[in-house]
Amino acid sequence: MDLAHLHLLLNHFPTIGMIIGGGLFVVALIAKSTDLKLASLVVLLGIALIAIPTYVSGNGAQDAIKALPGVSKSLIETHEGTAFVGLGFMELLGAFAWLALWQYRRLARIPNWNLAVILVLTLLTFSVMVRASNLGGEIRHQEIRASPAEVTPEFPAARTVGALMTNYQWMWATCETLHFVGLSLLLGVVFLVDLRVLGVIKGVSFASLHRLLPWAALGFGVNVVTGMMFFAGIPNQYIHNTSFYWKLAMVLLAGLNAVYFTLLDQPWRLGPKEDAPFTAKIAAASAMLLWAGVMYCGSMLPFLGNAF
Amino acid sequence: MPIALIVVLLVLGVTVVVGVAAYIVDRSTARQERKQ
Repeated sequence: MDLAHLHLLLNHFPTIGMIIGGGLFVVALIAKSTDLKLASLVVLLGIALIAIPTYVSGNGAQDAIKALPGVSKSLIETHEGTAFVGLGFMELLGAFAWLALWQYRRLARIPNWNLAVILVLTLLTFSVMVRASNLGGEIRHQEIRASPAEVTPEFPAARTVGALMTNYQWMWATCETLHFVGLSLLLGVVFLVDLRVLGVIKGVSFASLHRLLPWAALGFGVNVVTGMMFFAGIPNQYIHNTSFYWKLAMVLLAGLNAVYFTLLDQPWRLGPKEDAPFTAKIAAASAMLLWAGVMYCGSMLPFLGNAF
Repeated sequence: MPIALIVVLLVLGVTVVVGVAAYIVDRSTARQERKQ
């Protein structure tokens, strides 16, 4: 299996997942069902995470088919640019969906302003994702193209960001530094929460540390944005890099692990001086291992892989 | 402007924006918690 296979496998998730997650969310709003709202937010967050490898594997698929007869380069660039914009909206939607889950845990309700933001972002993301999917389908299916002639390339967002990253020396240096700021913010909070669950600083309740989670989420956001900018800059140094794929896989698993500590009752009930249940300890230990693995694979990009 | 200065200013700027965003989320949620 190569990246083209992986892209074909994953590229349905953002669009179909948006229909399921977004549809559930709209139904939940109409039915005023809290359980449905929470379920739809978890689906939207999951789709936001899956959208990252979907986009990344697209560059590998591009490598595999760009020389084939009938494949339009400008159509590929337009698809890539639209998918890049869609990815941006999707990650923003994922961020607000996570915030809603966090707010629900603290307030036992989701503020109306955040529900409105999620609804608007759902509609925007879905419309861009549908456009990206349609353009992606047209690359290999000439029979569904509106015009068989060469497509005029639209605004190539990914290429524009990529050119910024490579043409201005300070862009890469700034993003690299911010990537470490985000990492420190993320791991500083996540390790504190995990260590408490494992039995260190037992005098502090879980709820007190739960309050810090938005700082970790913002750190993660900074790293997703800067990480995607690195990728847009020089995609070829990542798409054939084993270390990069291990890193991505562990980011996805750690992201799902974060839902446990954000939303579920088991860790939330952990008061001062109380011992966490065994399953919570397993979740905390696995989170620490996964984030350590993310750091290791990131550092090993040039050594185990072929970056830089 | 030297590259090092541009990088420092941009990093500080983004870090401040992120910090302010996290502070606002924290304070507004804490205020609502107290109301409840």
